[in-house]
Amino acid sequence: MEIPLNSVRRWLFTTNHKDVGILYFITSLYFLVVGGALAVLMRLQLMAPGLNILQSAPFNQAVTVHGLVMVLWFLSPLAFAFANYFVPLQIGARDLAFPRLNAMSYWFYLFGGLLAAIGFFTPGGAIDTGWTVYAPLNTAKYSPQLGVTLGGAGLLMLIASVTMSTVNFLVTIFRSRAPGMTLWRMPIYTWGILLTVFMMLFAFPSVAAGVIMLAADRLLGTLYFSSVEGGAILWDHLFWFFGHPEVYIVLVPGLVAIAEVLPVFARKPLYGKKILITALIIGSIMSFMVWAHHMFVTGIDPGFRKFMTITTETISIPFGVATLAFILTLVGASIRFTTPMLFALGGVALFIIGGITGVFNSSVALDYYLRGTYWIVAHFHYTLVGGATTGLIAALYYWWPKMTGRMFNEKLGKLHFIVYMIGFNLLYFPMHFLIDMPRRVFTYPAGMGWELPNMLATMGTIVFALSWLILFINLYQSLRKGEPAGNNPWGAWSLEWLVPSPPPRHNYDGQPVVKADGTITIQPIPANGGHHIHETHYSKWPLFISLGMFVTFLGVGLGLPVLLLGALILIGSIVGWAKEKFIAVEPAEGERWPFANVERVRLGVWTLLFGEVVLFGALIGSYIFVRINSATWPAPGEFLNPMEGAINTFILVTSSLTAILALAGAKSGNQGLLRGGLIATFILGFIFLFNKGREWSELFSHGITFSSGLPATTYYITTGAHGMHVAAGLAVLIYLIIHAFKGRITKENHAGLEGFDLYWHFVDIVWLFLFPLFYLI
Amino acid sequence: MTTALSPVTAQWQELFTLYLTIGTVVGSIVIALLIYNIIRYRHKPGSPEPADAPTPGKVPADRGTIGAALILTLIVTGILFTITLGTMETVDLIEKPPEKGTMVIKVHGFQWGWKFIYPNGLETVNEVRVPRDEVIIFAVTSDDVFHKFQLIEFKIGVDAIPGKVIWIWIKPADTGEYTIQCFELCGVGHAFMTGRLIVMEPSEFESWYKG
Repeated sequence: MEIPLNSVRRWLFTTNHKDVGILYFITSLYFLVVGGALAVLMRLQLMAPGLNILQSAPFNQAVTVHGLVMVLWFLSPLAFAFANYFVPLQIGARDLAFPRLNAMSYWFYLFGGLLAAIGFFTPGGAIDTGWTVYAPLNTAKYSPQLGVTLGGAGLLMLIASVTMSTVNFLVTIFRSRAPGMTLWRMPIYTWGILLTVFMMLFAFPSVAAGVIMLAADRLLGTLYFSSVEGGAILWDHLFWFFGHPEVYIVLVPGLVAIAEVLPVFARKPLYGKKILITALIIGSIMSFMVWAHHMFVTGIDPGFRKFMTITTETISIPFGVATLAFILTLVGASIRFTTPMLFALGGVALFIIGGITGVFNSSVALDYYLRGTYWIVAHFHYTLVGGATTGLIAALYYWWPKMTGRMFNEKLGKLHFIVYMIGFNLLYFPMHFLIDMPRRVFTYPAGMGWELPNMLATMGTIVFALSWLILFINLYQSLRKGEPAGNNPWGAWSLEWLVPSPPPRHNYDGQPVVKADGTITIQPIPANGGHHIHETHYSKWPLFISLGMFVTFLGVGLGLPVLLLGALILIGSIVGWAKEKFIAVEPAEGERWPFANVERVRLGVWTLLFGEVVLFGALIGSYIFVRINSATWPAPGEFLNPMEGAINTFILVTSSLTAILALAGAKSGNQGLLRGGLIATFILGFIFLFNKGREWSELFSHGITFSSGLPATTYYITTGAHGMHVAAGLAVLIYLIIHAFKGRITKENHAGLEGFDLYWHFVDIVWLFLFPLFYLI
Repeated sequence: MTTALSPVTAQWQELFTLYLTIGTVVGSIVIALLIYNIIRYRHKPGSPEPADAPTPGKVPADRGTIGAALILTLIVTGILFTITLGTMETVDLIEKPPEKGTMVIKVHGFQWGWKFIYPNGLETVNEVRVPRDEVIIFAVTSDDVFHKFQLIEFKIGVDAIPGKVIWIWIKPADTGEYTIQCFELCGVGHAFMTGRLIVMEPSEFESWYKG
């Protein structure tokens, strides 16, 4: 499919990383305006005590959607706009490893945001539980409105989008680096994105499990969050195991954006790049060991809490080291105060303040009081707006000339910086003085001493909002009549600055190579190569699959016909995707340490499975959690028949063996073994599902439904999630069987089957955990 | 500001001041360092480029040493270690009343208010009366959703969670009226989920409690 570059269809069907990056860029700024408008409304309401601009119900919706949109639909996606555009360029690749998947990530992200926002137009309004969606306020009993369900659906689409991106970026960074582009030589922004996607890989499945359980509670009537055995604390664990790494997921791209910009305009290399990277790796790992500091005053075990206090205070060390590396970079420099540099320096200053107030919150003793106050609001806005957003604005100004080929107006840029800093500090600094005021109240009484800080914060909001307007005007003018940028207006070193602005679709007329002394050259690709490699740059299926998913989720609210229509679009476009001939070229040679021998598809499946481990870990962990908290639990055999479970276990394990045989057939070129193995695997998987269905219907006929207590709830949802994985495996099997019979799975070409085998073994292993947990003990 | 309204309050204020002092000093030093470097190393017309300035198409050489990072890390760790000790002490005070409380008042958060149940079965809503100079334990839970029971002037609060009881204690030093407020979003009535804590002279309290 070829599409003219100036057509609308280009933007709908593109799979090119730079186009997708621009889509992310525009969409994230759109969501910034949405979240910002809500913030302005809230601040107007809070300007003075007892105002009536935004009443309680709409205020709660505004505060919730503001939080969700700003963190998940603005900040991270803006970082990933730059990641999409620049990671392949910076490592010398032609595109991401899986371009169609990348396009689909974008559409899932957009449609997820729309799902959450559509809530505003439903009776009862949008999701209004706070961005943390605490249980049991999130259950149907206390929040019956459709808006909350839609918000959950939007979150699920976003999580799916993030998961696809994670797989894509990890495989790309590990498999598509140019020769000589070792990990240590990678530009710091790409490093930051690598760490960010690692954190995403392990963090998001936890909240995915939470949202799946919540959806089951709301739609099927299971009891995870309405019971006291699960309830508030279970949600807290699931949410914050995601939620705290998420803070660093949002923060790290901002910090590395600063680290990318500082050296260019300081005209000195980044101080201690390896130390900084090591610090960020430690910080990323530690981000998974601090989540319970959001639960200090929920009465959790004191020993566990002490551990989390120490980890939380320790995590400030790597980020302190990062800050000092920034400052030391300036020593001996010759600083050019361009707009991106000003924002980078401003970001460092604001992040220091936010980092220091964060140390307060790590203290359990102080947290007894601080939790839920405006002090916290001040703290996280200094880190996430002051640090992360300011850093990303620096990146925006830095890379704008590369993305558009045009310069912006420096004077307007500097004006933007001044107004931004004044507005920001006027808005958030007074909130430190509202240490006695609760967050998320739509109004407050006079006479508590809260009037002045609130008034200042609202004035700051207006100034801050104005600063963004200056940015948008600058960008608009730059597009219309900006000076041509040339290849490298800033004198930067990294690869993206060696090509024209904007870069050609295939990035490089040749193969970038980093020599031993660090010199980067672009070498012509010998013989049958050059940029005449015909990669595909368009596919309509990512959009249509996402649309199908969107309509299906809408159908959950609007009824069966819509749901069926959605499912129809979804299935049709998945088939279309599978049948499409799409070429994504992987460079013939390059730096692939440590995955030189792990083929692209297999690495992708491995990556996905790591996320799946966390997903099932969260589901199984929730089961153990509610079981430990329950006073009584049915004895083995009382509720489920161990014999039936054992037979199914045997069937599924056998199907793993037949899957191995199929792969052995492919590898040895034995087509009969391949086809027979695949068909046997399919039949066994189908029998497994059939038995499962029989077991379920028997239980139902005995009156054991989703709501018949926590044993039933956990059994249905955990094995249900597993069953869905088996079903998905069967769908892939159908595809593989068709291919096998067309003779397309051969000795040389069986990567897809290898990936499937990995997945299928994983699904079996999960069952080997579920069987004893549910049937035997 | 209310000082020494209750032992925990005093300790909290002290600890907060400690963090604030260290935070302000450290923050000021770091920001001063940043600003100093920005001014000292600004580009002046005619000044030459640093010898190791980034060059297009060349990976920059490594710069900086492990030693510097270690020293910096040690400084940060030392500061954190100091304040962590302070934290542990205060937590112990918050969670261990110095004498066995004579009175445990059950607190039930609900949408949208606070119910108080005294040992003798007396129930009040959104208003709780306690005697001065005595240890009072609040055993906090929730009847519906997640709330946070917060005594603003006393600088203490705790989550109110259905199915869980978490307690805090105060020993009020002064009579008067104090603010109770919910500090966790709990639905449309959240902003108005307030109550009053009334500290009375012990004798007055006795006659009220019995009457």
